[in-house]
Amino acid sequence: MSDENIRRSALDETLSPELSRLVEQLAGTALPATTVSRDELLYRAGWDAAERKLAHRSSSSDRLAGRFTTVGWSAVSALVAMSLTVAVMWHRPSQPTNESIIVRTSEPSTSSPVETAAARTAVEPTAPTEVTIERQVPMFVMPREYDRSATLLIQREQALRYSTLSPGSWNDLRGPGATRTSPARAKPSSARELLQEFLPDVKRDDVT
Amino acid sequence: MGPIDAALITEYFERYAAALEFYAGQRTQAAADCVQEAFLEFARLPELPPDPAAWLFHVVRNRSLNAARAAQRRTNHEQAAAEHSTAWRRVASPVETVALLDLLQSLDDARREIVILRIWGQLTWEEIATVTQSSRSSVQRNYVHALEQLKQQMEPRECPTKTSADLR
Repeated sequence: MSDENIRRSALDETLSPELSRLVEQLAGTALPATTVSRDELLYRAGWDAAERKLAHRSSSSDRLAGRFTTVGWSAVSALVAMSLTVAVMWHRPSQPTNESIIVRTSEPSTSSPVETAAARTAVEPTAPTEVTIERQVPMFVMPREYDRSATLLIQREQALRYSTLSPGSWNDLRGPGATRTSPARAKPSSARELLQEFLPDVKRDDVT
Repeated sequence: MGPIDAALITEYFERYAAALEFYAGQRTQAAADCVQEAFLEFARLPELPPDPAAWLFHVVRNRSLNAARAAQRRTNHEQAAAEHSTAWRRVASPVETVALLDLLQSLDDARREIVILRIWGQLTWEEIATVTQSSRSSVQRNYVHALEQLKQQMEPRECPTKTSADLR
């Protein structure tokens, strides 16, 4: 490193000869060699640049993926909300739903037994008749109608159970609320009697 | 790498690495680390600065100041001063270099810094003023004072030589 390399200025021109000589002497003094390894420095610089490039790419792709994820979730949640709204609007009954108890019966003049839905193992009926029981979603049902519907359903279940009893065990059957001293009951001879006994609330005209 | 490629780094490394390490060694023992970090920061620049040499000296100065402050926090003042003196002697290994460079130790920090930046850093007065955060006139005045101080300290050493020559 010589003084020719120094960018000379007006100040350097105004220095005294002794000071100029001192400057030349200092500039001619070789500094100790650096302890920094040039190869290591270049290696680290290259590695650093590669890391920054990789980080930049991954961050930009993350941003893109995050944006797509947000849009996707928004679309899915909007679809779910719309589906739920449509489902609730369609399912909400404007009128009570009906459930039918099918009472299958034959001609009144014939002696063939009347069959109820409880006796599904019997012979196929000729003219099914429907007794309509209103069954509604509880929140839309009037309490009295709901009680009646529940009573009818319970009685239908009892009829189903009793119809499968043998004649012998029928005598042992005691009705609802019966005590040990209650008299034995005779099994109804026909399905009509059975129905009249266990469905007392159903008018006779309903069962034809 | 970015716009500053390996060839450019190599060029500036060959030209300024020794001066930068010598410059940082005036303040801290971790001069090599300061120089290496400065070159790495240089390689990360999005574009070449207007004056790369001044930029490098500026960064090395800041890093050496930070390193010196950190070292001073770790040790007490006397121990830090002793380590500083040891570091100085370790850098200036050749005998003829030690004789001249040791004279720089007699200067105060501000003047020594200006001499190094001017003579070995080859910076202009404006660049030195920017790096040292002072005015150009102040830098020039301190530079001349530093040279005069060095000259005065060299004269007593030269006197015995002259005396012996005269005797012959």
